Amino acid sequence: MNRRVAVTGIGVVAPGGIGVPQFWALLTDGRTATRGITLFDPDGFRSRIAAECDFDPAAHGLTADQIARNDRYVQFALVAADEAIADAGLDPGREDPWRMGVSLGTAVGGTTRLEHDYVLVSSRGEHWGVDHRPAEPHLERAFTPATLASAVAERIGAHGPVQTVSTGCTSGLDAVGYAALAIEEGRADVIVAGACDSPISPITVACFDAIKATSARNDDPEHASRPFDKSRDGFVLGEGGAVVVLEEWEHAERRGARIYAELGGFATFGNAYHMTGLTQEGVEMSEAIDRALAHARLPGDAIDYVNAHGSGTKQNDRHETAAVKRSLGAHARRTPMSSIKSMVGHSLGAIGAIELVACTLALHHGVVPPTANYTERDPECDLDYVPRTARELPLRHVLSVGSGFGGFQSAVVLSRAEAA
Amino acid sequence: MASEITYEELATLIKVRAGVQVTVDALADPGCMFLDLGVDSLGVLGVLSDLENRYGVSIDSSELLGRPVAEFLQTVNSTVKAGA
Amino acid sequence: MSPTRSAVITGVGVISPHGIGADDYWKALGEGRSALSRIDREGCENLPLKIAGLVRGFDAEEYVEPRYLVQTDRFTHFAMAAAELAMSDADLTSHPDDPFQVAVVTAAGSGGGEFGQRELQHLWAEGPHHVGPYQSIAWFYAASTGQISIRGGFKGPCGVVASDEAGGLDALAHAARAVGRGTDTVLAGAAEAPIAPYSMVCQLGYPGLSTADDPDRAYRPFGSDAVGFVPAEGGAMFVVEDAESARRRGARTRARIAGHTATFTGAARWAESREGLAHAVRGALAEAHCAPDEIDVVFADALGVPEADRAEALALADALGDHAERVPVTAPKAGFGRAHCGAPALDVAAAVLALEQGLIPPTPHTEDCPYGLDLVIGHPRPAELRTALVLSRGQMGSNTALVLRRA
Repeated sequence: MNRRVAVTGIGVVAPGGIGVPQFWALLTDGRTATRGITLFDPDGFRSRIAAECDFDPAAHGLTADQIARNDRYVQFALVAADEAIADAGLDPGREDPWRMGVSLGTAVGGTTRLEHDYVLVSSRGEHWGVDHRPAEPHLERAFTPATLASAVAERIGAHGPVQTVSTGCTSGLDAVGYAALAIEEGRADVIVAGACDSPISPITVACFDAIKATSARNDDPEHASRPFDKSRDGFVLGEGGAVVVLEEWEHAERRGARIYAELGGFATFGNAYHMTGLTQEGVEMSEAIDRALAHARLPGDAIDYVNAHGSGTKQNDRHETAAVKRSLGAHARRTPMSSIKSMVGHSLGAIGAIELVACTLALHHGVVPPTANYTERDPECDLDYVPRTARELPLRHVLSVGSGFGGFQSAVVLSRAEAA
Repeated sequence: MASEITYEELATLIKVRAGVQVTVDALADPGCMFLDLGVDSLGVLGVLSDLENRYGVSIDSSELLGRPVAEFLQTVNSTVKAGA
Repeated sequence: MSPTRSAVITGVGVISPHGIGADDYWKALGEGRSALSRIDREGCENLPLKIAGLVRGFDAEEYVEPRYLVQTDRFTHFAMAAAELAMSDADLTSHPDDPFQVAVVTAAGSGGGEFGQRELQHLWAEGPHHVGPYQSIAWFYAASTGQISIRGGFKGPCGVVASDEAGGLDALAHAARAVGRGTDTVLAGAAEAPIAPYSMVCQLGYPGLSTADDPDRAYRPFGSDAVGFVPAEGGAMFVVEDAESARRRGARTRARIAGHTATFTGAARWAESREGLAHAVRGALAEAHCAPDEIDVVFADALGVPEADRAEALALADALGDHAERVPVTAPKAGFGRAHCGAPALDVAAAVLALEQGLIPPTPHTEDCPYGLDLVIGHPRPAELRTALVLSRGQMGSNTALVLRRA
């Protein structure tokens, strides 16, 4: 029994690009989608910038009822799943529903809707004891993050393993990684996997303000997300989501599906160090990279591109550079490593899945997306970060890494179908 | 006019905001660092935001994290005095 | 569940409305006691939800250092305390020689709601600068896994299943699979604290929530007079270990996680859950290499909604055949409510203890069962127990079955 995992479809809702073509155009042009916050009035907040999606759920085929029942992050998932399934040429109605699953990640779930209704039931925070009557319908669906995978599973008719994963900012990589393991180990043949978050709300912006994790470059939002650059001052909050269709290899071949890539390697570890802090050395992320490579049966120097977590905080970019050097050795200096967060911001749990879609497209087109806004070298970050301009490069194997609050460190290896 | 924040008050704040019991003697030691006391960066930020809200001042934390306790208190006190 | 490495439970830690620790919990279960009561928490007085299973007499400082307490919600206090109890039960120490060989996996269905409400109040009543630095790490679903991992120095493949109720079983399966892939030890389980004012408002929309105000009548699963379920707080954590590593270090093996399957049949579609649950049971039995008549006791999901109770009884008949009429079925959670993901974790704790003690705890409150099941009511029943089946369904559509074997 040696079951392999194929990526056969992709879908994305990202700032500056709803849908794969728009998303890929943004990345390869090196444009940034960061701007002043419009989703609420950010007056009085430290960081007043974000990467927002211009998203009209009705225009993407969601009914009024679906819009009312589902928080914005779940709407992202429904739209991205539709695109991914259509892209895969998959007809879910023809699949064995018990062999079809869903695995979706989110870091903060229905926070935005929860905050909205909190304001109503507490009279803007006036009372600890709340009055339930002003709450709007379907609030329970915002309360539990299980709604995310549930909504998508209902849409496609999946009866197999359906799970929501919430490991902070590695939720996207982990949800897709767990899905790959479930296929490899025989628990499903098709899994719709990915992650979504819509965290741009006062409480989330305020909580990152409080720990000074976000950029305060409010007068220059387009250039505020500056991963690996010497003048970086924190991440820019984003929103969005992405979905991939994962299939058991022979299942995909039998139905004549186009296979974008093989997902051959996944690993995650905890750093057991600090809920938000990272070590200088990056030992645990390096361990995740090493194990993901071992899972994919590849040596470190097989990696042609590293899709970085690259959040743009001082410590993250240093930590990650150290981890990649630790795992890839001398090969790290020869390997392009870029952060698309420079363009689409950091959408917390969602971003890992969005980055895996970027990796899939990079493999497919032989193009490495750049790190926008990178202008000045930081002595502690001394790798090739693909400054500002996309680079054509034939790619066989790519690595995507992530770090999350709670200490999570994850790595995924994708390989071009012909190279796999 | 705001009066000086003392080591006693700082010790109380650290207990409440960071959950760490510290003695005034340990805090007042010139070389004392927050991390040595078991107070991490989030704990320091909690203490700082409490002081900022209490005295209506804004203090640049990027300069303060990782500095000795004595220096921290000095900066806070001079900012509070200037802002008062 | 791995062909080569077998996952066993070597430690049990319980925080429940019946008390703190497995001993108090088991004593109350055996006596068929009820811990359901009126919700008397500040700010909850005027809500239409009246009865719940509350954890009383829990002194977080007894188990968790103050520096962790200030940065975490009650749900994480429960999880950290339960983890501490499970580790002590398994004689497992913090900061292992190889930190990558010990992981933490929790399920979370609601997060740090009380902490979140307090910070929301700071924000909306006083302004953004009054939100504290811990909001970013206390409210989100990964808080408990992260803090347990940091406190113990556990760097293995940590994870969080942010699921509906069934996630409590899925977390244990997740742990067992990690063991199968090579991790020696996983602290796994779930604990929840959803009885805070705003969290309660959020739950009012759950179909099947019982708003009865008599603790004796509010939750009577499988009864002909069932009127829904009541929520609860608490949960359980377990030390799940590779059987061989456990044997090497001389740990007491308490039960073996033998099989698991999860299915999905749509949010609150209780009639459809029959097929989903039956499918899950068959899958779990197959994975455990277990014939239907080897099941000695069923710890039921027992939602207390007639349509759901009927579906569960039919699912057992579908999956176990004639044996469904003979196998004892119980739902001790009728005595303390449903703590979301913590509910099936508490069921697993009850099942482990039942297998060890040879005693099936009864289903409190319920007086009859019109669904053709041998529901254990009234008194505990002594029985030779080798294999237990634990079932869970979630509000968002999950159906999960877990098979446990006596060590």
